[in-house]
Amino acid sequence: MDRKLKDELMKKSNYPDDWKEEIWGRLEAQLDRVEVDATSDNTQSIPAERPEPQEEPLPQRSNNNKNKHKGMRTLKIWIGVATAAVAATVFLSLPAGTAMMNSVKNWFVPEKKIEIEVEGHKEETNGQVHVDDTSDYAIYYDKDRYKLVEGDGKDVITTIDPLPEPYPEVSLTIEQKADVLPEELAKQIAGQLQGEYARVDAIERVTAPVDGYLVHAIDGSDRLSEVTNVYVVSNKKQGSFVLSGRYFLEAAEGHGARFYHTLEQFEVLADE
Amino acid sequence: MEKEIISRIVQGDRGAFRTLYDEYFDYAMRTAMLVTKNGEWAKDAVQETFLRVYRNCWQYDASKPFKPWFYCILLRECYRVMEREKKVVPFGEQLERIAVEPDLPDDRVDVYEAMQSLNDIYRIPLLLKYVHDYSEKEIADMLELNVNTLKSRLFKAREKMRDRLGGEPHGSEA
Repeated sequence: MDRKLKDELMKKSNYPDDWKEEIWGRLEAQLDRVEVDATSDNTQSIPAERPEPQEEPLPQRSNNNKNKHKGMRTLKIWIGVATAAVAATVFLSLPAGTAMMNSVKNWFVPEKKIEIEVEGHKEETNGQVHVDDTSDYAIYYDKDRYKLVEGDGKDVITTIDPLPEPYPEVSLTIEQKADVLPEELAKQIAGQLQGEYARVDAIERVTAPVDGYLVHAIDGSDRLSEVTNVYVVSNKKQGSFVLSGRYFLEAAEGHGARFYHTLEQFEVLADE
Repeated sequence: MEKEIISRIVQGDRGAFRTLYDEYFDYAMRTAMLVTKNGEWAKDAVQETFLRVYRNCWQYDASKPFKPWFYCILLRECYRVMEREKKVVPFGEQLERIAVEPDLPDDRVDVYEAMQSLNDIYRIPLLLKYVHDYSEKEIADMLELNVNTLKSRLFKAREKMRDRLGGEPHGSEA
C-alpha cells in the first residue's frame, strides 16, 4: 500500500514538461528587472522598508564579481542595513509566533477580511485568528473592536475598552465541557438561566451561525436589558463547546449581530 | 554541495541559482501541486519560493540542513497563494469537505483522494513522506515538530487512511 500511495501521488503531481523553463523564464525576468532598477539607482541606497514582498528590492549583486570598485565597502554596509531591514520585515510579516512555522496549525491565515452585515449595512472587518491548542478550536474575531482574553478554561472576546456605566457586559465566551454532550448540556444551561433571566426560550436546534443548540434568554424589555445567546456545539468527541454571547437589548443589532458573525468563524479543530 | 551553491548564490552567481533550481524544481513542483491541488497556484508558489530563496539565501544558516529551510518557504508560499485565491479554509471546514464515506469498499475509494481529504496536520506529513521519502526526523524538522508528535500524526494519518479505504491496513507503522 505504501507503494500504491506513492505511485498515486507521483502520478497526481505530474506536470507539463515546459513548466520548468516557463517558471525559470519568469524568475529571470523578475531578477533582471530588479537588478536593472538597482543598477540605475545612482545613490545606491536601498529602501529600508518594502511595502510588498513581491516588490522587495534585491540586494545589489554582481555577476562573477565583475563590478568590484572602490565603493564596495560602502555598498556592502548599505546591503547589510537593507538586508537586516528586509529580514525584520520578513520576520514581522510571518504569522504571529512563527519564525518559520511552529506547526501546520500555524498555517491558519493570521488575519482575513470578513464581510458582515450590521444594521442593514454590509461592512468589512479585520478578522484576527485565535487558534486554541488546548481546546482545539479556532475563531476569527474583529480585532478592531474586540480583544480576546485567555482565561482559566475559557476565552472571552470582549470590547477592547470596557463599556462605561450603565451598560451591561458585552462579551462572547468560549469554553469547553469535555464530558457532556451538547443536547444534555443545553438542558442544563437552560435550567441555570431560568434562575437568572426573566425569560428563557425553549431550546432551539440551529444550523447557523453554528451547528448545535441555542438557548436564548433575556432579562426584561428595557434598552439595557441583558440578553444572552448560548450556543452549545459538539467538540466532535464526547463533549461540547459552550459559546455564550452576552450583550444588552439595545446592542442586539450591533454587538449581537457582530457576535453572530464571529460565531460563523468558529471551528472545532478536533477531527472525528 | 548545497552550502557551496548557496554561498555562490549569495555572491550573485546566477549559474549557481540555476543549479539549485534544477536540483529542487521537481520536488518543489510536485509538493506544490499536491498541497494547492491546482496547477496554476502551484506554479505561482514555486516561482515565489525560488525568488525568496534567491533573495533571502543569505539568511540560511549553513550549519543546518537546507531542505527544511527550503520546504518551509515552499509550504508557506503554497498557503500564501491559496490565501490569495481565497481557498484557505479553516481546518474545520476542511474536515467537513471530507466526502469520503468511511465504510466505502476499498475499490471505490481513491487512495489519493483519501489522503487529500485528511486534515492538513496529517496530510502534509504523509505527503512529504511519500512523495519525497523524507525521514521522520527530516519531516519533523521541516514542520518544526517533535519527532514523537510527528510519529503520532503519521500513525493517526494511516489509521484514518485505513478507515477511509474500508479498513484495509495502509502503510507501515511509524
